Amino acid sequence: MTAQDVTRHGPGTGPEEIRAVVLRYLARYVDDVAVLDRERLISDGWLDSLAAIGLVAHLERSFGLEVGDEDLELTNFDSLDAVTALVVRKLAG
Amino acid sequence: MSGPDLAQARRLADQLLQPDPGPALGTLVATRHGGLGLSHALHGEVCRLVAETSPSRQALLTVHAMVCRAVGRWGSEELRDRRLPDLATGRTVAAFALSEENAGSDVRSLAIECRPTDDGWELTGEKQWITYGLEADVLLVFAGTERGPLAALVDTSAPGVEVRACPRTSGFAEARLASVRFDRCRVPHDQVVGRVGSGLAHVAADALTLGRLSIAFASWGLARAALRAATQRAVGRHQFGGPLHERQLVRGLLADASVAVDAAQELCRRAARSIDEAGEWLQHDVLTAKLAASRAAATAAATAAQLHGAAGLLEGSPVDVMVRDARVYEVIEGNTQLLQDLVAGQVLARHRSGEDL
Ligand SMILES: Cc1cc2nc3c(=O)[nH]c(=O)nc-3n(C[C@H](O)[C@H](O)[C@H](O)COP(=O)(O)OP(=O)(O)OC[C@H]3O[C@@H](n4cnc5c(N)ncnc54)[C@H](O)[C@@H]3O)c2cc1C
Repeated sequence: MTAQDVTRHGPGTGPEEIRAVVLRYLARYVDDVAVLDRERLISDGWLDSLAAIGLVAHLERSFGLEVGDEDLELTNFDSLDAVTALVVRKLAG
Repeated sequence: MSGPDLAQARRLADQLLQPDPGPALGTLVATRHGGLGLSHALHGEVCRLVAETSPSRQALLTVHAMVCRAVGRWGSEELRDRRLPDLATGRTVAAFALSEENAGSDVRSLAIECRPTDDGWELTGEKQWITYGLEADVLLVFAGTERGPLAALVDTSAPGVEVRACPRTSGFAEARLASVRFDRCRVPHDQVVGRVGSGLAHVAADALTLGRLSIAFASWGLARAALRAATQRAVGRHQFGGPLHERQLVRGLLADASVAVDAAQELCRRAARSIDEAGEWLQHDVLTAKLAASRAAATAAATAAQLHGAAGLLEGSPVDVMVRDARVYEVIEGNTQLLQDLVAGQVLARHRSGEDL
């Protein structure tokens, strides 16, 4: 799956698909994807700040949404479930 | 880069070299907030042009643009409306206060104290190495809190803020470096940029990406200026019955510096395009440009100094200043070894993504 393949998921995209897109992105930054089931990916240092800031850009590109300051609570980005939930909320408007 | 674009970049660079740069400081700020709304490609050219003359001065644009970027990207609408118009026009000068005595490359070890109060936060502790801190009206300060890292604007005129000159550094000697001591300095909630907890992972990381792009272009500018000085010397200085450039080993130095300068140019422009087009691998492109361009600056400056012989060792001579400034580029916004580490991380990420390198 290449970067091009994961772009342009719009409104109506289901949570499973969203989760898969996020997982594919985060998997770039770990050797063992099992790590990504953890709760505190950023605050415990499993992902560094480049991965974190890259994730914001990746979500914006992949789902055509805008991440604003109100979304920036770290809890929105600290686990796969949290990121998925954030995207679901934002796509629902 | 088109002719009119370059002409605009030249005009802005000239303004930035004046004592009061004014609106030229608003390169990347959106026009609706009174800025110039330039592309990163054009901002980069401005950085490059200013650094060809003065890396110390260019540093002002780097840090000011980083703070503008943080406020513009992550500030609340109210904060943006309140602060950006004055930042965009240079009425307010901003600096970036991340480093501390024990937090250099490793910014997770921030130690400055930041306690919650009824209406915000209270800062106590010290920040150092703040470029243009002596001139700044406002600082973007990073601190750890019980709820994670925080980024906030702190006015240097606020009670409990003491700005002092930092001992003069050999490179960036004119960059007005300051140390700042905070003593129970109050920071109201409405000065916070982004959210508590995201100060490093998002606000700082994003600003540093722009910082790295700006430093990459500045390094390319310094490298160009150094290659020019080296070439002039190779043509003008005669030894052994002819100009230095007739010596094959001198030609080797010039060739290697020239290759480094050209590579820096292409990598800088690619990185800027990558940001402007929100490219999938923009971090990789920016890190690569910064690493390569800062090394190009070091290579070209060393060549220029070497070809100047004893004259190149005169303290404060143009090529001596280039060598010192080039050293700074290999230390700030991620030192060379840290950048190698991060570039390798991107190489691995691309490999894991299945994308061909
Ligand atoms: C002229 C100048 C201007 C500056 N302006 C600002 C500013 O405006 N705002 C601000 O907040 N800070 C500023 N700084 C501080 C600058 O960001 C730090 O100097 C930089 O982060 C490096 O930190 P350090 O000096 O503590 O070096 P250290 O972190 O102690 O590192 C020393 C050396 O160790 C090696 N090293 C470090 N980390 C690694 C690693 N992960 N892998 C391998 N090797 C490593 C490198 O060779 C590095 O050069 C400025 C510094 C200078 C010199």
